[in-house]
Amino acid sequence: MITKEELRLPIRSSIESDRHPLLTRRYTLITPMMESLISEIVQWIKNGVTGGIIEGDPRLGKTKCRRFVGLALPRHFPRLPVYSMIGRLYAHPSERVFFGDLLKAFRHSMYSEGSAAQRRDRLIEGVGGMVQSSGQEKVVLLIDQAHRLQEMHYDWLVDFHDELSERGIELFVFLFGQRELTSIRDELRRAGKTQIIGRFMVDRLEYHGIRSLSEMKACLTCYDDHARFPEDTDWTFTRYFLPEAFAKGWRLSQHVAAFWKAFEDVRQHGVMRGPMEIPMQHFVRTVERFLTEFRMEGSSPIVSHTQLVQFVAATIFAAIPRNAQLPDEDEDEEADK
Amino acid sequence: MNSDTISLPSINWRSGHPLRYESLWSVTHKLCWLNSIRAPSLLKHFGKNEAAIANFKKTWGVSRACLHDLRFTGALDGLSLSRAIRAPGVWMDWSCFDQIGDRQSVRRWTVPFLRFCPVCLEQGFHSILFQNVGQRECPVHRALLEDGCPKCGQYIPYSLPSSKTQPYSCECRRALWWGIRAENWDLPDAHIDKAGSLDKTIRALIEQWPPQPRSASNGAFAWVRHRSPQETHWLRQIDTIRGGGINAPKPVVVSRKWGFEFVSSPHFARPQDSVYGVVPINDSTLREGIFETYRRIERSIYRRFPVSNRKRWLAMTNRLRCFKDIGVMNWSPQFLAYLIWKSYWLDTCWGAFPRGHKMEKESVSHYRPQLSKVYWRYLQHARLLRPSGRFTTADEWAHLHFFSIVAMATYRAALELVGSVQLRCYPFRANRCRRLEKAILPVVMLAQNSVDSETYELRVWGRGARK
Repeated sequence: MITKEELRLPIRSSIESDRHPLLTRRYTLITPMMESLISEIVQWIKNGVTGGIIEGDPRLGKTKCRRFVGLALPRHFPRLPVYSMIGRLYAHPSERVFFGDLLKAFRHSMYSEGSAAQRRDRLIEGVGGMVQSSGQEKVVLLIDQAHRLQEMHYDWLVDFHDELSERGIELFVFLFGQRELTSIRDELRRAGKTQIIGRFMVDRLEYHGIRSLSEMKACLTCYDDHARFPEDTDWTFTRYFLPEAFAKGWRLSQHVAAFWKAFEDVRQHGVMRGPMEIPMQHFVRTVERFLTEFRMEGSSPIVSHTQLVQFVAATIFAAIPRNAQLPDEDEDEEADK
Repeated sequence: MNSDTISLPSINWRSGHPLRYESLWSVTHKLCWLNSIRAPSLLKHFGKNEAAIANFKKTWGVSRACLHDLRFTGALDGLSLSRAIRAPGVWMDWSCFDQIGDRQSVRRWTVPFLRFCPVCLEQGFHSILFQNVGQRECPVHRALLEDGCPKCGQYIPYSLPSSKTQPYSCECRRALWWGIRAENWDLPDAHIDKAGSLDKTIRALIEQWPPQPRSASNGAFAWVRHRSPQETHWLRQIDTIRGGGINAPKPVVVSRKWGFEFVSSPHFARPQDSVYGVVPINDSTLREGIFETYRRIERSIYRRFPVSNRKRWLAMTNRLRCFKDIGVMNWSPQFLAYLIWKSYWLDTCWGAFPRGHKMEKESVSHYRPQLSKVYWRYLQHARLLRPSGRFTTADEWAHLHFFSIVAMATYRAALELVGSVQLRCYPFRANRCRRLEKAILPVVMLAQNSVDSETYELRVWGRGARK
């Protein structure tokens, strides 16, 4: 890993702006929620918890989190094989198709060949050989959209799990999905399918959005310090879009209160109730718009409450209607004072 | 480290494999086993593209079935296969005959079915060396090579596993290597030694059978011509010759019956019909008969062999190579047993014996008194040597040319009795062979010499097409 001192700072114009991740929206912020989730999953693996549920509302960033888990787990367990699979909605569950999907998830080139039994044998043989070469004796499978899986799929996963354990391989299956997963677990429990719960639904974690000012600040700090493009340079996102302000010490995280208040105000006009929770998608879209559409005043950008509210409202945060009455500019200026 | 660095391989394969000198058959069958696939899927992933196959077929003139023949890469793309299983670059050179000889010559001295050393196969190893018809035993274990399923005795095609068969198994579902089911394929310690022994043998094989032009056979023919002009004529004209005759120095009574073994059979050569009664076919004459047949029928193989000098020549046999002037064919003990069984079976078909496939010792002793002792002796040896009871390649060859061998053996036996003879070859006219038109097999018979009524002929009909 490159230390901060080793990072170089090439000329800004040499960086292709069209390919900037903030514009292409292909980047992942390592949020405090992700970090806590990683530490929890690491503990699960260490404690031999072979499966768990990670559930949350839509658009919270579960998929990005699942991708990050896939990258981060090998740092805690060197050479740990981690694979991801996206649960598909099957009109008619088929063992052949399911094991084909599993083979595809494990990146086997022959995922479409043969019968169900042949695919199962191929999968077990392949995973066995791969785990043997990794020297870990365990393999992690992350299933996204797991709420789409049906009971039969879990039964096949149990078979897969058992056959691997016969070979001395421990299979960890972490189910990422929406809150339906809890109800699925309850149904399975009522049906007496404890073999599924005992393997893949031992524990449960709730993935949540930004709930506090400190969490939001940590996320904004990512733009200031951690998110870079190109990765081996010191061009953080904030520095790239606001180079002069950044040079004078301006940071996004200094304005966390303004961002928080904008979200709070929009929320008051929305239909959502309950404790404050900002999904990551709405947050990052707001920050992206701010970094690309800011107005300068001197060498620093203007952090206008009205503008932030507009940005937040444009993300349809809190299911606010587009024609909702938002705070006007006068109120905004008063608020700034 | 991220998950990209530890990914499932595109295909399942075990580290440490393929073994050195492991054949393409062994590797593809292991590959099919590990990935639970069969030939179509394997060709889908590791096959040459259609254009390449079409070109291959056009070049070599082979059918699609031949493309699955694992003596050659055929429809398989050897390069991509080697990469997928992470085989060393030289592996492909030793896994099939592509690099060893041209296709047509290789097909002459290799067998299209699996030949294997049972000990090697128990360890999951097979080498192309075993496909060589001249290889009698495993150079490592000194075990006789088998060429049939230990259970059903059928040939196992030397090709990609079809959709109906399991890899490394016979069609009767008998597994040839039980260890294939194990989670790990342990490499035996003796593997290094095995590779060393095979190395020497395979190198010798290549040096011995370099692809040679047709003119290379001149040496062998020159030696034959020098030795016996008459035999040369026979060698060259075997396809068109319809018969031959000998002029015996003393009278021989004409035999009224004809048959493949008439002089040794009391049915076909009754004492009143022949001066000699029964001509004994013993080990020596039978060996001569085998040799003669072999030399005449398989004469074209001469061009495959270098002649070291004029007095010694190398002839390929189906079991081993001999460096003798004569008596080259090293026939197996089983063959003799088979020979007698075959004659018994023919007699059964012809109604001379009770029907039935089971051969009783008493019947053989009665009808084949000259051969019964050696038959049982060799049968016992064969059982000891070869538990599967499967006939070897040499036996199969002998089966194919059974009647010619018997005819030649009879011919030799008759020569021994007649004494010094002059060999004179001439074709028989069709009207003199009318009675033989019904015969579907080459026959031997004694007949009155049309030229000299005081002498008699031993006629031997070859396999040539009748006009």
